[in-house]
Amino acid sequence: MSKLAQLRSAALPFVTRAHRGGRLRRFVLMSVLLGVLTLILGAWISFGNGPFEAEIRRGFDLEESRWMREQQEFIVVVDSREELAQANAQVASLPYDHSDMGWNRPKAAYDDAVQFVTQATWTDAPRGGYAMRDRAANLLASHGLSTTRPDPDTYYTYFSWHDAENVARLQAILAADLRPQIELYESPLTVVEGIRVTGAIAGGIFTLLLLVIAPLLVGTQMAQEVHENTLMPLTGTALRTRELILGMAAGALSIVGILAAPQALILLATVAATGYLLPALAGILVAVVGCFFLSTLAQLLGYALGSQRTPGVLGMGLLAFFGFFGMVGAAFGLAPHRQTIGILALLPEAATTHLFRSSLLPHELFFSNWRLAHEADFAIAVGTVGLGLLGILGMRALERRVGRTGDSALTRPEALLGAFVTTVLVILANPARHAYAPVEASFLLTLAILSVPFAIFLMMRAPFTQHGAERKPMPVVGLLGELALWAGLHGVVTLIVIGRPELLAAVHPMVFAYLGWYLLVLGLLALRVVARPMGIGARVWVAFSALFAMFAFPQMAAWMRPWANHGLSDALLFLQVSPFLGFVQAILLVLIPWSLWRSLRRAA
Amino acid sequence: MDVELRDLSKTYDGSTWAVRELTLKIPSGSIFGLIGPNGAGKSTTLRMLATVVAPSGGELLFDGAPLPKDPSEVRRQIGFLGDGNPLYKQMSPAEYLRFFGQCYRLPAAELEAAIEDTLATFDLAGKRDTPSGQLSKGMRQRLLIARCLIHKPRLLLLDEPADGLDPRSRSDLRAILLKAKERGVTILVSSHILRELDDLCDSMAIIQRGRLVVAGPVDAIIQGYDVSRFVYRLRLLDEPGENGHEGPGVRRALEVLRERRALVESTGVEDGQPTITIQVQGDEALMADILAALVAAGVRVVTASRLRSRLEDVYNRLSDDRVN
Repeated sequence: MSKLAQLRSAALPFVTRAHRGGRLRRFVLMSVLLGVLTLILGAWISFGNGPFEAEIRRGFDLEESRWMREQQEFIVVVDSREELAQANAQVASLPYDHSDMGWNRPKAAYDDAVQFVTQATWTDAPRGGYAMRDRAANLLASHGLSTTRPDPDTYYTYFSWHDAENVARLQAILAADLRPQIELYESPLTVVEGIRVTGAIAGGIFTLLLLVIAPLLVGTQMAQEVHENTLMPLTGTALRTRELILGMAAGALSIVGILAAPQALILLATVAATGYLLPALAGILVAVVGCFFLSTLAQLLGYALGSQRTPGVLGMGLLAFFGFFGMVGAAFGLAPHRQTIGILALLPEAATTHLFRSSLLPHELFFSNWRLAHEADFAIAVGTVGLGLLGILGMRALERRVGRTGDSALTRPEALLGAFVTTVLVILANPARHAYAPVEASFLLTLAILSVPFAIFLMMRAPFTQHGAERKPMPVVGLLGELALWAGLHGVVTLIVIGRPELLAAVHPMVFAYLGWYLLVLGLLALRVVARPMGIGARVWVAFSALFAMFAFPQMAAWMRPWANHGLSDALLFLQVSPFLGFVQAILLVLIPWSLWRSLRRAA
Repeated sequence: MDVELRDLSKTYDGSTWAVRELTLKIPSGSIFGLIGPNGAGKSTTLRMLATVVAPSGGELLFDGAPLPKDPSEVRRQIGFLGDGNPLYKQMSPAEYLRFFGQCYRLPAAELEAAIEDTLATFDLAGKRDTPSGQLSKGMRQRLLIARCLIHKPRLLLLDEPADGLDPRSRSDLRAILLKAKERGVTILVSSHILRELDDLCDSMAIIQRGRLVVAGPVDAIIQGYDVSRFVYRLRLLDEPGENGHEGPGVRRALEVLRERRALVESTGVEDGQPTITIQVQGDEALMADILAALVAAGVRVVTASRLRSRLEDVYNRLSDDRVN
């Protein structure tokens, strides 16, 4: 049987299960409805004339604000034919007796325009503006209006002959002879723009389905199988562990696939008609790779926590987790900035959103230069490869966990590769890389972020306790050595990216001392969590130790620079608060690693 | 399928042994009982045989061949019902069997035929499309065993299959196992309800704290341990006694039993009738004599049922002699 046929055969039971009864029909129906809804939504947002859809358009910068248009074009925009007739009548009666205290929008526009024109006549004009200034003065005179300079205390109007928008507005007022045009509001979007909006909505739903809903379903399903002990019978069937994991994911993903397919079609169709196909195809590829990575991550979480938490609780947690990163990613993807362009490497949601937007709108609309656009492409390419590799590593770890094969979830080279990939991705995404921030800020920020994946990789390197004839003692020193190697790799990559290796010589030895202490505690904490079951006291101590370990960062920051003028209070920052707290800090610096080490040796 | 365990061992934490150096031979086509108290290592042994748990030591041989590195081919020939095997409550029996049949990679046409056949065999055809969550406990258990047989395995491993079943369902289970045996399936069943295994199993093994205590054909073990003490419960028809004392019939029965050297374990009331639980040191002929004497003395005996099986007596004897 070929690999593809094997995979298909492994997916079959889970896909059949997901589609059993009338579910397939319902999913297809739901998918078609969602597709139709996307088209309707696209048309409604693009061409609807109601205030709600207009607000949505303005929110997404698809339309200029109504006030700006009214100012610039000297018009009054109304929402109904009744308002149109009424406003036209009001324009016809302009200017009416000032004793009439009634207020209406045409009158307000008229008064504002009079002040504006008057201000223009009193402002020094360049040679090219003389004729227009004379026209403005004549207009006021022809309407019998005062040309007295407006009192800035009662009515302030700004005008500058060097401001193109001011001049354009003046021209519009002169052309309209001080009478604003009344315009019935209509969406300004063209058919092409409407198609693009529909494509953008389809792209958004596609991203949501693949990068939020899919991992949520996959992770919850794994948690449910573990929680209800239905996974064990499956491990006894003819499916290999890898096939079982992929098959389980395939069941949940088949539902997402049915829902996402029309969205992808709508996106590609709209892009083919009005945009650029290549970025859209790249976006779909990135979404698929991101879906693979996030689904594997969700399966790992579901497997690890499924026995302790109900699938419902875990599902809510996963929804919050993936939903948060989905929103953050979409925000970065929609508004790329030079400093945050690297985030496209780390968050597939950002990369996908960015690529879909690029497929519908030309680069120059949101990039100041092509170099930045290329940086974005580079970050996306590196991120896609990186997340793909991390997904494969996650799957191997899960395979060994579920199948109870191998000595640990990850081998040493695999963990090293994982640490290297995450290091590159985090350093690439680091906003401080572009800013004029000090080097140490970059180093400490990325180290703090990398602490989480490093700790996870170290946990995956810990030997299984339920394997082997004899208990294998936890190789604490060896594993801490691996962590030190990853941290060293992080330092090297940071220096390469920043390109200033001479900075290394300027770092105070105290920084290395605290760095070593932090890595020691981080490693011991990670190993302590997986080494043996923990009681409530041990959990509290581990949580407290993790919190205290964070204080290593301000300590390192304090000693980064300059060399001189460091005293004892810099060595123990708590001393700056009180001598007692300084003493407690000194005790904890020794007690925490010692206690963790001792409990690990006892466990071994 | 011939199954052989050679010095099979398992430790989960590296220090305590769930199973230690277990050596067994299970002949092809037999029903083999695995007996032991909770925590004896029965479930772990079955899991290792089902290849879902890797042994820490020793060897497993299926048809004389060691377990290959990729056990998926061997698994296709094994049906395994572990302990605490819940169903997918939303799936109907047909959907559940189809799901597992596909997990065993049965061809579509063969699978559909097997589903219909299995549903009929296990008397579940009437509940074909009912969600499993709505089935009775007996039906759910039948479905779980049906799932183990859907792919026509050569080895069936059942961990406490009769647990929680009512007498009718237990009887059905026996019939199903005997039917499977007729088809040549080797069956390994663990249970702590020894009466279930007494006249069902061809061979058995008693394990305690992960170690083998005794193994072999059931009759040979019973004879080998010279079990000659049986426990019976007699239910009588009698007038109620005065002031809460035994009635005249019970008093007469106790007198006869004393004369016949039957040891009275206890007296009580069941379904409104007085009962007497006795130990008889001898074979069934002696019990027949006792019953005749009771009837001759005017005692109105309604039922006389054996409480503990011979296997239970062997087990108790072993517990007295070796296990404890």
